[in-house]
Amino acid sequence: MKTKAFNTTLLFYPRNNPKLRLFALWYFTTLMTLWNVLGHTVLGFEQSWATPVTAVLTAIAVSMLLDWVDARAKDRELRFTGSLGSFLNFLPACLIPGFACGMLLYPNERLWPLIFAVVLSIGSKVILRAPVGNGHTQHIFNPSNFGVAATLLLFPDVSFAPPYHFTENITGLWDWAVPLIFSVKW
Amino acid sequence: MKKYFSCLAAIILVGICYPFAKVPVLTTAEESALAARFSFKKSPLPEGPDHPPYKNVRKVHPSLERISAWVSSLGAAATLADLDGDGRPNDLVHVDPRTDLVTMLPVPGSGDRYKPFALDTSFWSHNGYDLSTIAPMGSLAGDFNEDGLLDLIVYFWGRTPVLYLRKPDNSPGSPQLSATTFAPLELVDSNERWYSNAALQADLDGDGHLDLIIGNYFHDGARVLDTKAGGTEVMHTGKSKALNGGYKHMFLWQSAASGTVPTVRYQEIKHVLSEEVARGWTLAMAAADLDGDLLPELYIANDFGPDRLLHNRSTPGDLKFALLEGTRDFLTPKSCVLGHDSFKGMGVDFGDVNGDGLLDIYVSNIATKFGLTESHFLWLNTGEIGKMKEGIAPFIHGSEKLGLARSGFAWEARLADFDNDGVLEAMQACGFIKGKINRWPELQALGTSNDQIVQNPRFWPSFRPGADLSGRDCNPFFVRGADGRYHDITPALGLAEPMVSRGIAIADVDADGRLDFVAANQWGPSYFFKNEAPKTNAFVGLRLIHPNGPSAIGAVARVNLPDGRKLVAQVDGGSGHSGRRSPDVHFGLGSWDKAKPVRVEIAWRDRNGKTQQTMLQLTPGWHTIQLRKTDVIAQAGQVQPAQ
Repeated sequence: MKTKAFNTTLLFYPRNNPKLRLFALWYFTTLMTLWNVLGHTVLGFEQSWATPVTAVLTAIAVSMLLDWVDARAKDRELRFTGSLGSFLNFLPACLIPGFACGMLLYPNERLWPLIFAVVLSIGSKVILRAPVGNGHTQHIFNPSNFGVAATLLLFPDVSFAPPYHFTENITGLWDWAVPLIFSVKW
Repeated sequence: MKKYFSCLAAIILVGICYPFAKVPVLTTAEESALAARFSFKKSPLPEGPDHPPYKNVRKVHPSLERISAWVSSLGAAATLADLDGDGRPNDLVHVDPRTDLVTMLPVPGSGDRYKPFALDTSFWSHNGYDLSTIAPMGSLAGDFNEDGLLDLIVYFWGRTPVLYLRKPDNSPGSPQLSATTFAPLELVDSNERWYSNAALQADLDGDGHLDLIIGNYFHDGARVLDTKAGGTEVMHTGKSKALNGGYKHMFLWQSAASGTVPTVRYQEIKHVLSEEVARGWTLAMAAADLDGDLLPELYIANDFGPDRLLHNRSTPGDLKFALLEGTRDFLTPKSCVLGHDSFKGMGVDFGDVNGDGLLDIYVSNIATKFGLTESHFLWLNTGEIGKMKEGIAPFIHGSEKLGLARSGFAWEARLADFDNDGVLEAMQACGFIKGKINRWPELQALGTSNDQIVQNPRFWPSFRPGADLSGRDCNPFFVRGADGRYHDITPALGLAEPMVSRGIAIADVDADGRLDFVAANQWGPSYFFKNEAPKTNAFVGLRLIHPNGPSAIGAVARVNLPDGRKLVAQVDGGSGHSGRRSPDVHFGLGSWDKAKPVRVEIAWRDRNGKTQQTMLQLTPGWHTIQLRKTDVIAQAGQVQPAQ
């Protein structure tokens, strides 16, 4: 009998409530997805359309691979199998760094620096961990930010996307309306 | 141990991705091998002992005071041409912002044929302009009144351009050029305040006479250099689509007269371009025929907004241009689609980088590492000229694949063959503001501000004298390596010296077949770079002229090399930011036998507006060719190379 996968992050939610964790993850994921879809269709994101697709697919693939390696080593169940629910709930942790790296970095048309950033983001969760008691460990860094920051430092040819790269297509009153919409507490 | 398996797997994955994410670089040996093909001797332009005291910043409108260093970042310019008629483009027109003088001088080392002199500035206050609110920005050499003598146009910040028409000299012997040799004349008497940063001559309507376009940066009527003016000057309406800049003024040539009072008359044709296209913040323009009808297409490089490629559909007397835009595919970033960029458009040049006989377009933007790393453009011509009729620009983004995407804060962009191997080198003028304190964080803060407040300079971060923005850039010199990519070999060439450059003017000043250049620098000494590369490769150089002497601007020459490569070049009428190459066509021929004639095809529009073409067998070397009707054999006379 394989053991169940344990999610250390839960220790940091009130009453270790898994629903709160899922709500937070899906809330953020929905906003990120919406922002990216609007960004590439309406607002005028600078990156190629291949960027978010590649980043998200890379994130999913790497997360699955690392989970599979860990599950094999520890003889535990995979996190993304078993039910549709467990597959879907595996996705936020992939979509968030995928979209974030794809938005924040500007490697021109090259996709490899982006793939590197995503792999490092996801990888940082298993590479850099700290003990949090009871034999459990927890990743230290915000995965997306670690991947983005390390990529910027390692590759001077890769740049961050300056803020105006996110709303290049909008002008006039929309220049005020978009930040207003985002500053409202939803 | 087992709990570290996933950690190990992650480290391996990151390690696998790392080399792919790196940009290919040359080994030191490869770099020195490339550098061995080039050599430049640098000499400063002479500075007269009697020059006015040097400035290092301009006096600006009170509302621009806090960004005076930013506003003072333009004005250095250089034009190479054969002004004294000795058969070599060894005369330099230099605009130096330190003195705001336009000086004409023999290129250093080309003989003291005349004393350097400044053009008469008293005419600048003609029509009631206040001299203290005017600064020259660049010049264009051309035979505007078609008398066979080379004239000049000087364009400004603060006024409309001034023509300097060369008066015929009847004195015997070699006439000495001086300020009195040129008669100043207004291009327009509108008394408007223009802020021009690009100028082109080209036969826009195909009537056989050269027309003019002046591209302005700040909106016409601004008071940028007026310290006594009130109100607030208007900056860019946003950082990615600012369409409130200066107008693009198009002038059709009407008539001219030579003699002791030379004149030329142009008529401005307004509303040729839509307001959206005509009001970009223009820093550079270029013209070249892309569809084979010998009517020049136009490329307008704009700051803070999309560059424009215009398809010339004019007929004599009737100007018509259609906007061309690229198409976007899955892999191309938004700005890397022609006509859709938010990048900074500061220099432009036409040249065929891949030997397919089609002109490509090289554009400078800001691509400063750890500053703002957008991307320079190399628009590769796909040759699908039929698409131009549908408004589609047949160009794809090639700078990343070719290694030309990044360098620094770049202005002039130039494509030229400096070692005559038949492959163009790429170079840029880089650097923005030299100072003591790095102000990139503040400039990045400007990038975070709302587009709606950028037009008010009072919301800009302070960029006063002392601020440094990419002030330590070196001018890159890119050479195509064996891997097909361009590599900057400046350090190996010994040219990695920081300077804040604006214009690059290219010409073979000593007619030895090796292209030389001048770098015009902002708030510092400017330099002439004499090409001393090994003379192993053959070249053919053409001075294409109309029967009575003026350069046949817009004429196209083609050479087919035995290895299948097709070379193409045109007689340039002023493409670029503030550097102007001489109106010569130059082809490197590589290992071609220097005694064996090469077949050159030439197409041009004659003085009646009729398109003509001819084929010549020319031995390698410089040739001056008078373009006559096709039924008459074109005359070829060889100019002896300098020893």
